[in-house]
Amino acid sequence: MHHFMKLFIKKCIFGQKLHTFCSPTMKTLLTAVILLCSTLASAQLNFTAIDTTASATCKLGLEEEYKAKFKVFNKGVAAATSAQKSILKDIYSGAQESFLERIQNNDFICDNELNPYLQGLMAEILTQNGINVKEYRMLLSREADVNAYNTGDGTIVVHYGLLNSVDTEDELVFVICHEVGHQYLEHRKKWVESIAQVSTSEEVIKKTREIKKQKYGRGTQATQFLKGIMYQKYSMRRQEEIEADSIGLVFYKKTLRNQMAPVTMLEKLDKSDKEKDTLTVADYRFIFEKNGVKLKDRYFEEDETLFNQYDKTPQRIDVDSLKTHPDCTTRIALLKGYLNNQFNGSPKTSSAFEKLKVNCAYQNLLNLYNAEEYGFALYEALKLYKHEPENPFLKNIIYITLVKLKDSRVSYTINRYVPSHDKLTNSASENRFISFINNIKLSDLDIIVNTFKS
Amino acid sequence: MKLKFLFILSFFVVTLQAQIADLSKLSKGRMYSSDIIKDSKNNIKGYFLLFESDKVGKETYELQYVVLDENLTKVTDGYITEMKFESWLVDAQGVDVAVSLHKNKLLLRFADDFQGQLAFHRYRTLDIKNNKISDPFVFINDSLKINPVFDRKMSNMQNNQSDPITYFDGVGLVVQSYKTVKKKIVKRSFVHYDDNMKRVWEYEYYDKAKVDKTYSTIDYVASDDEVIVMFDHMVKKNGDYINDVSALFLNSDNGKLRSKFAFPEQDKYSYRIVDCKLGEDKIYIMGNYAEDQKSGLVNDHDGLGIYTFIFDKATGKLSEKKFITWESMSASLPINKNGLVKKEGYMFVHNMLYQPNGKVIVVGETFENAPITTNNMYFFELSADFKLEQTFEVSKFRNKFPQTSAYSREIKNYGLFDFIDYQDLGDGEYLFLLNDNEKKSKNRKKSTLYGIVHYSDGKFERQTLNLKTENSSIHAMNAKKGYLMLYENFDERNKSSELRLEKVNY
Repeated sequence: MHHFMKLFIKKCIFGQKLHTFCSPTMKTLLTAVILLCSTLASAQLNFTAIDTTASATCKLGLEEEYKAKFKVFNKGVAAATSAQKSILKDIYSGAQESFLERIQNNDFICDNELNPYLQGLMAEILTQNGINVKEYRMLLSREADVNAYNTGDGTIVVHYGLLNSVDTEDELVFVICHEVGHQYLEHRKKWVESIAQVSTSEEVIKKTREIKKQKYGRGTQATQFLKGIMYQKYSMRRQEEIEADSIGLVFYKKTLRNQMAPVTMLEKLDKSDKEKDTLTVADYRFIFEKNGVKLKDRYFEEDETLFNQYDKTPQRIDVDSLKTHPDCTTRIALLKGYLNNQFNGSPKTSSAFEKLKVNCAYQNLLNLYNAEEYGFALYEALKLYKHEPENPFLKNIIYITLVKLKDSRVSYTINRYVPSHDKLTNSASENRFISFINNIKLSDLDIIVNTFKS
Repeated sequence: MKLKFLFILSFFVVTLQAQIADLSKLSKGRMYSSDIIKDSKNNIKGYFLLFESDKVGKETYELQYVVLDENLTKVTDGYITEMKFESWLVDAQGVDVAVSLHKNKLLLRFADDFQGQLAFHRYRTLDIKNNKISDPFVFINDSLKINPVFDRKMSNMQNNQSDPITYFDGVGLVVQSYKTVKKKIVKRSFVHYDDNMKRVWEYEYYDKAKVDKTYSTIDYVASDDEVIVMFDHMVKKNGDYINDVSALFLNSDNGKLRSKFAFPEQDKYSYRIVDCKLGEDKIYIMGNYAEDQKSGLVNDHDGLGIYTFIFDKATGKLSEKKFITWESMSASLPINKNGLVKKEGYMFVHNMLYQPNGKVIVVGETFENAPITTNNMYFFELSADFKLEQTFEVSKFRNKFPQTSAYSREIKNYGLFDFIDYQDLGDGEYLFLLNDNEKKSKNRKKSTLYGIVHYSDGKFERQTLNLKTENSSIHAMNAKKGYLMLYENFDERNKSSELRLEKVNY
């Protein structure tokens, strides 16, 4: 057996921290980032980046707040048996540790305008529905994933990527309503308790004993039994999503906002796999062929794969049964049914939302850069830059990400920041970008970096 | 690449199985073995992994296989049932798998693994057009048996083990058949089967009943859809090799012997084939030669140089032969007439790569047999008329394995040379990968350097990847064309290991 193949069971983890070092390039970069964050407000863009120093300061307060919150929460954990209680504590402490780690990692944004704005949107929902505002807390994470979640202790977390993807304030409000719905119905608490119950149930204990006694086929029987439990649990989660949509809509209606927004939000979710814009070879040539750089065709080439068919679903697993969410089409149909296809309410917006939308595409790029997602930051920046080739912010973000990626090529760490080709899930444009950034000669990359530096 | 749209994920992730530890333990499998899927140009195209998933009967297991492409994206997975020898005395530790590729099919060789010793060979194919795996098959006593019944009895070994089956490039499935005709009468042949498992041709090369004093042992060298090249080494009745070697050229479509070439002056020289290139209308057999041995095997200490024999592809007739002695290279490196490089050891030839312009790139590494020691690497560029044009030395750490002794071919088989592999980038461009432990290092595990030699347009360039870090250890492996695979294991307990595909800068 080839020794290295044993390693394949471990999957590559991207986004690890860079080893800290401070080379002249690094100093130049730091200067560039500082410039980027402070001076672009005065440029034609009218873009003000979120003050990251404020986030760093407020993390201390957040840490204290959540440590105290978890202490109180843990005291209140109750279960029918001590075994169940032990499992509950185990799950909660793991989740809490990871949450505190995220605070430590500066994952949450503290911004004097954004945080009160989002807290205000949530307060609007809670107040209109007679829910105690003090029991809820809104946090904004700098992650670029289009996501939001509740932690079960009244905290609703919205990813910055969500702000970038919504088109209206009403859509954002509906997402918050949905999360408040989960919290209101105590879904997370119920889920964790159900895990503890099933783990200690007579049925599971008996079945485990039975399987252990078998001479042959123990693995298959154990897998089948586990699969049955998992399917049941995931079915419960899908049901909870529908419940959260339903009660979320009730909350939302009270805000008197545009009732079409929940539908458009889910439609957006349904189409989220399709890239809105792409980068062609002509785009790369338009962007980079300056100062004598001539991009070779082979920079964009990728070796032909041997395989024609990728089996998306693993054998013996019913992927639909493991979905945490129902299909969007089902959810949309249900929402429309709840509303009898009557979409009342009027669109609402605010100056804060309009300002947010002006900033968020750029801020999202900065967030990606700060999260060391250099490949993704560059790819997204290039898609914007091809339409705005004079945009100073985009030029700068392209420069600083190119420097990082060039350094990582030299140190053989680029795969931390740019994923491998993936013929199953990546678009042709994404794979083309991966080919380009890996194949371009370092000497050509040097010239390009200098062009963007200037 | 894209950031996932995880909208409205409402919970922390709770792993259900983790809470049901016993059940989970019972349902988990373990890895048995794996193999690289390479194309005919030596480039990695994918990976095949084999896991045990359950014991379903006496000496019978359910195995899960997983196929990954060159980017480690999963192509398919599935389950098969295979036997594994178990007795009160000895158990096979696992099932070993070896994979070869022909067009759209993978040939999978399974064998019970007794601490590296393989037995009970059997085969399947996997069609990569539709990812369907075939039933098992074996070739026993001139008969191809699909879905054979095994009993795993040592007393019935011959009915539990297939004759060797392999894919010949450009040809397809070929069996090296050992056929017992009558008691103590064995016939040996190569039998070609088509994709539908129908017998196409047979090349019979040994009939024990007719043998007087010596007989042929034949090994596959290379093939395409026109010709199959074999190396025939004669053996005495008692099994000892003798100095009688030849190259055989067979028609790929009917298995008929096109011609036979006896290596020249075998009373003076022994020959080893290193590489064979099949061109449009020529065949190039390349290797090293040594002073005559009775066995016809090349003695590590008696090397004389390297050779290329060029044949007309259509007829198999020799058109040209070229030799270059080690001694003639002494102007560019301190090498004696037997290939001994001063203070380093004897020259082992890993590869000889024929270029479109007629040049040959020779990849060598110096070594000692006892204790096993590997030293510097040498890359030679030979002109079309087989003159040394340049020598490119790659100095590296001297690896010594105390109290060991082995012939060069065993050192190669054990993987003790530092040369890892080469990648054919096309248009006469190559990457050669090697590893090199850093000198005077206290912790060699963390200070392994990896060398890359790039050859293009007549220029060799070496770069050393300094992957040394203070808080991790890194292993480099060959990967898809133009890439290295790096496995980085961090000292920090909670930090996940990384498996990275990194583009080689050249």
